[in-house]
Amino acid sequence: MMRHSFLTCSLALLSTTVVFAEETLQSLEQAALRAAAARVAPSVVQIEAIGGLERIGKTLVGDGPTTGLIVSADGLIISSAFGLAQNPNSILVTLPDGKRKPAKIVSRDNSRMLVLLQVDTDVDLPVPEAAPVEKMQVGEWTLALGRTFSASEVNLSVGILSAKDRIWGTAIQTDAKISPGNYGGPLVDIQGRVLGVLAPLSPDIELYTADGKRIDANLTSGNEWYDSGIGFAVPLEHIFSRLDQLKKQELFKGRLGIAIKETGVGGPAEIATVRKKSPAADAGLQPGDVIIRANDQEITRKLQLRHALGPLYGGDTLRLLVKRGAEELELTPTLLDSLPKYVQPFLGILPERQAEGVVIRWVYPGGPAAEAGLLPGDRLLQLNESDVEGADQLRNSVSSLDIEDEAQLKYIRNGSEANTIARLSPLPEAIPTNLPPAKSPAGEAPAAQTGLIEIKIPEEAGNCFAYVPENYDARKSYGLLVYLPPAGEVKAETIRDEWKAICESQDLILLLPEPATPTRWEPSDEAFIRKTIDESIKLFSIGENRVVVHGYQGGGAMAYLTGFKHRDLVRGIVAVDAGVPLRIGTPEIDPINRLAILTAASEGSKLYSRINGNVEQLREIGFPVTVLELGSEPRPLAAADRIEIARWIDALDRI
Amino acid sequence: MPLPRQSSTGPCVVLTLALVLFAVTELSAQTTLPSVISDVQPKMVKIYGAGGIRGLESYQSGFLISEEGHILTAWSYVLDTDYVTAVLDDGRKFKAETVGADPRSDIAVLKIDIQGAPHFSLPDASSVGQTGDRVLAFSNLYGIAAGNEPSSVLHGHISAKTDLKARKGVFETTYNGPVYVLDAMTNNAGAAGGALTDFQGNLLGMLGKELLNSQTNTWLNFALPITDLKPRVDDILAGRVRRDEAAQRPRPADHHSLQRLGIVLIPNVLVKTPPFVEKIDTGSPAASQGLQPDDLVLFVGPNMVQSRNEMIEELSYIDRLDAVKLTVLRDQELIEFELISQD
Repeated sequence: MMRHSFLTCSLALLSTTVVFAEETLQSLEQAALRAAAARVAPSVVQIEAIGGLERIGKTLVGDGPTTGLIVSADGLIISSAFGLAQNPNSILVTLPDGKRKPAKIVSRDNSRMLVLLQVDTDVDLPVPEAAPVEKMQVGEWTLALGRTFSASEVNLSVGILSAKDRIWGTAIQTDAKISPGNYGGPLVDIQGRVLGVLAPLSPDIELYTADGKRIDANLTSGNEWYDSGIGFAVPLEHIFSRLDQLKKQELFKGRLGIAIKETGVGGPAEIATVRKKSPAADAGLQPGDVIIRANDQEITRKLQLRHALGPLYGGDTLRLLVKRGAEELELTPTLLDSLPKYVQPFLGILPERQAEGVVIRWVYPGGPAAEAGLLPGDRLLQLNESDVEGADQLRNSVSSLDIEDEAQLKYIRNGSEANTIARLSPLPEAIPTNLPPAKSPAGEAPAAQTGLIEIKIPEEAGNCFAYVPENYDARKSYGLLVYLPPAGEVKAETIRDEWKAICESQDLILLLPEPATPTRWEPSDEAFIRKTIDESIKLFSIGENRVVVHGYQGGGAMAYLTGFKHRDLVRGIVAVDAGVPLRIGTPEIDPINRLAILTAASEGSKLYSRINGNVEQLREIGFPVTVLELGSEPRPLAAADRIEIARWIDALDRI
Repeated sequence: MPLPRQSSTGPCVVLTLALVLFAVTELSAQTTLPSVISDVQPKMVKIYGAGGIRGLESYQSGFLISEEGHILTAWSYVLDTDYVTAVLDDGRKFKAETVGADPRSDIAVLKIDIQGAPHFSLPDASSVGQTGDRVLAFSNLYGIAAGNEPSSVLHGHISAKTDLKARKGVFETTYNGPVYVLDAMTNNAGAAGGALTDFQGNLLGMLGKELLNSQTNTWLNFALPITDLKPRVDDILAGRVRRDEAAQRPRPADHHSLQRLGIVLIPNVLVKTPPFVEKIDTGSPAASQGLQPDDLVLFVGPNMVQSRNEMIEELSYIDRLDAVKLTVLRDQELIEFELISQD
């Protein structure tokens, strides 16, 4: 009897439960979300910035309120640098009790786009609980809170945790709508713990803003992803762990000072060059070492190393396990905020392209090799007692040295070996006045399609033509000149006619991608341009040291954007009457992925002073910048200028 | 929740399951999300009218609010033609007449010739959404639905309830009332006039037009609360025309100014020169209360002033007989002053 009534009772309850199950689940979820928001809301403050710039590059920086999160009871508040990018005259924080307080910027975490503020407070402020990163699960509920629409109530958007370990290990990702409405606010879990602080991050790391300020992340570009379903937050657990350090000093991404050998995406983390006077050099890392562990992370592929280094700051000590031959060594470099300026060293030769090993094609007059007595036709055997295997290997070895270093060279001339010493100099900026033509192989060139050839990229709608010179010989190595015309002037035949003779005499293939929008280049066209270059390298015999992106006016800005973004591919940028786009900033020197720049402008150009500023800044960073003056009146390039540019490209495989 | 215990649950579990299944089938018509959505769809209307040039779409959304075919929609250029067509979710096509519009609240009421139309009843004041509520947005965004295709449904949450403050030109809109801000991409081309409901299908609001938030330079997704629209709709239906009451902030004929208070600000050198005090006239109200050069004025009354011009404008809204409350920043400290005009 007892049992029977129990059964009935539970059945009744069950069916009631199920009847309302969906509604109940919804309302339970809703109640849980509200409770989670309410738990953190007292720690979420509104920040108002007064005065300052209204524009960072082309991005209009809103002067609306932004959000911050209390991180210490005595008044430390963390926020996103985005809302304070305009260098405000003063900053006001509205505390949860409604009191407005003036705030001061205490410090910045430049690698994560965060700003630490301080307000004076007589009472202890509520500090939220941080959710441990270890326990976070992709797919769990996330709430993004802001306090921008009203100071008295938080605004929220709801989503799930999309990924952990994003932006080189610095951020978590959510599909909740993240925008200036909640940058600086917390990303909260269903229990009301803070997962992270919302910030517009972007995987493109840059070194300098347009106004020359040193930063590690792109100041505004992450914002292009606002409300897109891709939003980032810096884990609060991490912020707490570094808060004492951040209070004392600005934090930057830590720099090690190595370049990894280009061996495809899955390749090992083998060191190609070690920058002089860098933490890597001080710790004793050498070219050829393979990094197999960084801190506690096993490294089998080079991208894993980037992930392991990504979260680290200058001042952090890194424990590396490296394999050197049969040995395993433990080395502990201490990272730096920035490396000493690097200038690419130069031996002063052009190598023959068809030769075994390194045979000198041309010696730069007055350069280190000329001073050391080297002559065209000499074959280099050894550099500092290591065998010279080929031009690329020699170029990397020279990159690991320093200007002013002495390079001991063993070479062979007319069958006899000799030794000499060359004192390295910086890469030259002047265009050689005259170069001997590259050698042609003997015999008939294999048959190939020449003329204007349409390049089809399967998944892309955009048009692209390549011009292959009539005398194309697939056994030779060609330079690839990617020409980006100014807006609205795309006519492949015209451009071909301008370059035809030069392509034939200077071994150049011309590539003519068109913008997706016929009237102008959009930053997103960069991906299409890259695909057309990749395709050309597959189709034609391209010397990878001579891939150059060249543009006029709007196309020139696009050339900078493409060249800076695809460092693994582009070796030269030729920008005519165009400046570096304000929005993108300039990248670092990379000893392996060399990049040379040629600018051409006339004094009458509206951009003349900005271009000069770019030249100065690029040189300051260490890029070789060649300047072609176009006289007083603005004009496009003439035939003579094109010949100069072609010769500049011909010399890009210099060592 | 009491569950039957293991030892004696053989037949009981089967029975329970059967009951569960029965209950779900029986009641799904009222409670599941798909059923809520299919109840709402017949109330939605696709509206076609003027536009089609220079990137202006010639369509928008609307929904039925009466048995006799009244449609609530957004007031826009799409209605600016004699031939407005309304298409129901079953594909029936009607010529729609404009009954009336309230351009200030950005709404219009249309009428089609129909009887017994499925419709939303305009709710009373209790139908209010709260921040965090889950919501559904029905509209023909991007004109994806055509003919007998139902509207597109998006789901999301109410992010915030706020006012579209027209005052500082934050939003370029004539509507400056309260809105629900949403965390879904609801306000795209053609979505204006769509319906916002809760997860039970109760009408909460009407989707607004595409709108750029000039404060954050981002696009805003929002809906106008139906409780605020209802009196306007009632007026349109009754043929009453409301005056534009309180459309403009009243500016008293005799109002305050910098000169009257004795404040000289630094000159206007930037687009937004911050209101820094350059000089205080001796014997002025500002001097007697202790304002000093280099003070930065942050608030006039409750309103923040970002620039010299905004401060001058704010003062012009205050009657000369009333006191002016200024909050200034001096050496990282906020100080309040109350100034009274002497003349």
